[in-house]
Amino acid sequence: MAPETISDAACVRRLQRGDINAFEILVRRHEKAIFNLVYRMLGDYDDAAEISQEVFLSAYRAIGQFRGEANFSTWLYRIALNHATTRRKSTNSRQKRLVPLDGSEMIDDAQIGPAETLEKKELRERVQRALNELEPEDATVILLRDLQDIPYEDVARMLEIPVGTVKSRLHRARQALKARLAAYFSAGRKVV
Amino acid sequence: MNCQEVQLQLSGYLEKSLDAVRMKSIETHLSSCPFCRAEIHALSDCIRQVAELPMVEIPVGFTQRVMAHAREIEIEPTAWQRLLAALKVTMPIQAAAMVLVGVLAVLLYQKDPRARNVAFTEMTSEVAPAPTLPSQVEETTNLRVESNQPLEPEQSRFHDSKRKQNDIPADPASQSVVQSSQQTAESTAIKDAATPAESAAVGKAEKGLEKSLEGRIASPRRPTIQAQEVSTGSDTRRPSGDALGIGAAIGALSRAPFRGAPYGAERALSPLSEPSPDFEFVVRRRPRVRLDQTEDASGASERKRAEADLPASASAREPIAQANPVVEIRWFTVAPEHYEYFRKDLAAEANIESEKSTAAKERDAALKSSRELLIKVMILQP
Repeated sequence: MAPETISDAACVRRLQRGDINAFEILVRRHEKAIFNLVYRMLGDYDDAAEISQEVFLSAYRAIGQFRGEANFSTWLYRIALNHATTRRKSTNSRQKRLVPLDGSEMIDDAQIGPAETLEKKELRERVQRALNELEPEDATVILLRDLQDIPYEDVARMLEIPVGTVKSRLHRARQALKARLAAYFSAGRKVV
Repeated sequence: MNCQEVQLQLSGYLEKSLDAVRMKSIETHLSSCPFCRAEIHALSDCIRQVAELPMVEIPVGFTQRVMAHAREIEIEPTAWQRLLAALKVTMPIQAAAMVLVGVLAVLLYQKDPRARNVAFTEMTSEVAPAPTLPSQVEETTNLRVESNQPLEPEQSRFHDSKRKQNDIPADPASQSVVQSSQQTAESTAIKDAATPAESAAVGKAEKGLEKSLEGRIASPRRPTIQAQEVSTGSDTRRPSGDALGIGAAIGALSRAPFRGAPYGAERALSPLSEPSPDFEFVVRRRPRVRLDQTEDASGASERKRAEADLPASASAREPIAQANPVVEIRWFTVAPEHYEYFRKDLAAEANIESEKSTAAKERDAALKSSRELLIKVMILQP
């Protein structure tokens, strides 16, 4: 059976029986989403790589306790958010982290010119910086809903809060993000 | 709807998750309120900027690093796996199987009243020294008869009914298996030890041993009482050398025409009373020294073996022998015309202390009748 056709639940069952190859399937299936979520939560590529690796290894260690009451992806996201939030809080307590200019974000549109590329890059760095300045809970709900386009119900399960709370928290987080981006927009810079 | 109410619901309006009435109200307000219109544009741009954040590529070799670390980690076992692991550590599979078999046996035992009855019967017959009623004496006697003689139809029916009462399957094959397994070791040892000259005696000893074993297997193990020591048909087939010590020649009594007294139908005993003998002898066993001289080798070896085999029963007899000088009571049936021969043989083997008979009229009638005489022999210590 091809790895793509095996469900998460089947992989988890195989993994719980000791089949480590099933874990590799799960890693390859979820690594990109988890890494990007963690990266947007932390704003640092290396930190994101370290935390993402720890997320998967934590899941691997605790797979025996996973009883399948939720989707594996929901469970994995919860682990990732916990790790990222913990790292973010510890980092913010040491210093206010700025968005790294490490060039990890690839600009896909080859048709745009260098000036536009720079402007886009500057805008994205600004958005990332604004996200980093938000409360972790607000940044989390924005990233889950607006970046990853996860349904409200799944966000509620990941955060273990009611859907109504998710909506109200999302509205508050968006208003906070808008307020942080307002200076950029009010300076006459137009969104590309 | 005022500006504050509209701004609280702008996210829902952008996601079109509000009901139609609210959507229409907000649209109406936005068309007439430039401030709220600017707010909703700013919010929409903000959401779009987040949504347009590009997906970054994972580091090269990320999967391999994760898998390399994972292979060094031992997965935390599930609760079920922890339980199984604990069982494996503390209990090997053989022990677990034995425990399982034991549990199943207990469950089956509790569910099957038939098995419970059998177990109870075995337990009481081997352990509990229940008071013996005369009816049990009769049953025991009949069991011993059965092991050596073909049963009369009536006796056979009696036995079957007894078995049914006890729910013990009447399986002669299984009995013979038990007997043969017990006898095999004994017989082998005897054959190995015997010289050709002793082979005949050893053969007799084997037969005697078989008889005693059969008697032990056939009859329940109860405390020895005198009523059970009554000679029966099984004793008539004893080889020479009475294990109970009357003397070797007492075996001659078992020759025709004398035989131990099976309780025939015409002389059936009352279950609550001893039979009324036609003649009653009290004899004293002769000293062992003399008996040893007359006993043949097979008799001696058999007695030794019997004593070795039955320490419990032997020790059980001692108190009785000390308390009561009568160590054995044996019964014989003798044809009237052979009564005198019987008396002579008895006198040759033991000292006759007393001889009683029933009333003279009845004795004469018995001697003249065609029925066999019932003779009671009480054997005293030497």
